[in-house]
Amino acid sequence: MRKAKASVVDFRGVSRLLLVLFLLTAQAALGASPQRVVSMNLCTDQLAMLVAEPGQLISVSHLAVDESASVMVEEARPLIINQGLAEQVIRLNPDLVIAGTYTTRATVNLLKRLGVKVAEFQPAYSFADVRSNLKKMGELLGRDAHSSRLTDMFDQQLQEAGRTAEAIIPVLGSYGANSYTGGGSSLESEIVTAAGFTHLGSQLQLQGSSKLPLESLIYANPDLLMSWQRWSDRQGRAVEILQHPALEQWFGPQRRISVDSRYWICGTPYTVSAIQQLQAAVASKEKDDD
Amino acid sequence: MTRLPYPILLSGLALLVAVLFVISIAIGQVWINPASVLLPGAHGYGEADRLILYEIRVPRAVLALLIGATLGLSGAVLQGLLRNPLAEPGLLGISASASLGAVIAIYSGLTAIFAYALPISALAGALIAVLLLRGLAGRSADILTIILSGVALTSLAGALTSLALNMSSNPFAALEIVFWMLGSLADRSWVHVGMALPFILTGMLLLFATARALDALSLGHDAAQSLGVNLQRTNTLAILGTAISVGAATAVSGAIGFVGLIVPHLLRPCVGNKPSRLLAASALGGAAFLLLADISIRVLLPEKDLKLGVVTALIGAPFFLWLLHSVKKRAQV
Repeated sequence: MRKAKASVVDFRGVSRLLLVLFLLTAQAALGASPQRVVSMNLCTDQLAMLVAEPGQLISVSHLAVDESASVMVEEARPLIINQGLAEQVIRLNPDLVIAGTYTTRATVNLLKRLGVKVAEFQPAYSFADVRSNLKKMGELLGRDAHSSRLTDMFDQQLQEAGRTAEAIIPVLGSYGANSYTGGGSSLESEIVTAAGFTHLGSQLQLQGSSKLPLESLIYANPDLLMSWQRWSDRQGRAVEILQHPALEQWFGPQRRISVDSRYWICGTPYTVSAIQQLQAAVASKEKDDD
Repeated sequence: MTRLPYPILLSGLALLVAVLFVISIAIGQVWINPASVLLPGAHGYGEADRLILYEIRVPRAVLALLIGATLGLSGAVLQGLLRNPLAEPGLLGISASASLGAVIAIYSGLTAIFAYALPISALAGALIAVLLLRGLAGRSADILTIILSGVALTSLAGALTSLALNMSSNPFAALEIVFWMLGSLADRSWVHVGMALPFILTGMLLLFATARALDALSLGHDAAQSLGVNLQRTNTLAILGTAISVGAATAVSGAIGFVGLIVPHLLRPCVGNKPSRLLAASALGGAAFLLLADISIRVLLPEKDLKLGVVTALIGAPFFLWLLHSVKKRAQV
């Protein structure tokens, strides 16, 4: 049964333009909020779990229950887990499917052809994107008030987490499996900057996640090198680079920081935790120095 | 046409390898003059340059040299032993099977317990491939039967490698498929050299031990036997030598194709009809070829981490087609 709801969205200012777009695609057009929502992407999973009212979200992707990727494993467990395959999703008889713009493309196109309503979310590259994705999720699910409360909380926490600029701002670079480092205009650079550091990828003017050869990393010589917990200690050729003797000689233990990647993957209000954890990790290194 | 005397050919090749080795350690993200870093009293280079030279570039060049030599040598031995101009570890599926062995060792967690599990498992994969090939095409003198068996083996090993990597819980494992199938020496370290070196040297010794028998074999099976050559022993030496050296090489570099095909063919006209002379020449030639390939990927696309197998296949595949064509033509005449 679908519950009819009064006007879902306030017609105001800029949101009006956004609404027109939604009117074309989303359930909001009918004035009813969707009651069988399926999410197929780790990041939309977490946003939807935060925003949806109990029972509204019926299924999330398998990554949402993956301890190494998701912050909301507990919340995801009671829900139906999908692998992002069209057959599976159709059988759930959803009235709204939420997907990321870069993942499961073939499935999304197929679902659209079959007449399923699909809303797509851009990955968040900045805190502004986090806000607009929260807003969009609120509008889609008919939970505007709730999502704007989340946004306000997020903004407040961001402000509290922000560190006053120090005289010398250390440069911090990330280095992950297969020699990848985060580029500028990314969520990573936004988090690193908010935590009070200069972001290496931004300084090197890298675009997006980029391969940085070990030689280049040593020449770039960031003050601190950050790697991802949970993924770095796994077996495999991809992460061998993180134990390269040259890397270990150049960046001693005092310059190596390990952070919990789950908080960095998706643009959700949890990114505040990423900032706090990074600051704490650096502070503990500084304390060791004294 | 006068041929170069053999010692001069070998010294020439050795000199080429030495020159390419020096260029290989000079080239990278920035040009470092090795002499001015190595010589005491030189300045202009910092701690970072020294570290990059010793810990990144030298091991990389050493691996290119060793692995190239292994592939060239095993190609020459296999061609002599099977009396098949198209034989080569890559084409015969030996490299792909070694990759499979390496992948299984890594993702089953064996390498975490015991570091040498990686080369050992890779050489076990290579050994199974060689034995299968001998079984499948052992009696048949048909050149193409062996090659087709190798093609099937390559596909099978490749599929199983993908399967193993896709089943891994590691989110980055699937990205490694390319490495294991096309090979790369980027950012390898002394750890890898230490792991592969003993096996590569052992394997190469075994391969060199087949030299005299290969000369006899070039006269034909029966002639070789009447000359007192122990064919069983030659077979065992070649099989073990290939499996051990190619297995260990593949464990650290991934599967690199065509080196063992091109190099012996290019050098055969220079050494004449003596397969034994081809061995040392092919080892040096293979080292030079792989060093050159590894230099070229860093010069052509320094930012893209182009895989070594891409370069060797770009040169090797057309060469293989030409060779196939000329072998067929010869067979018709």
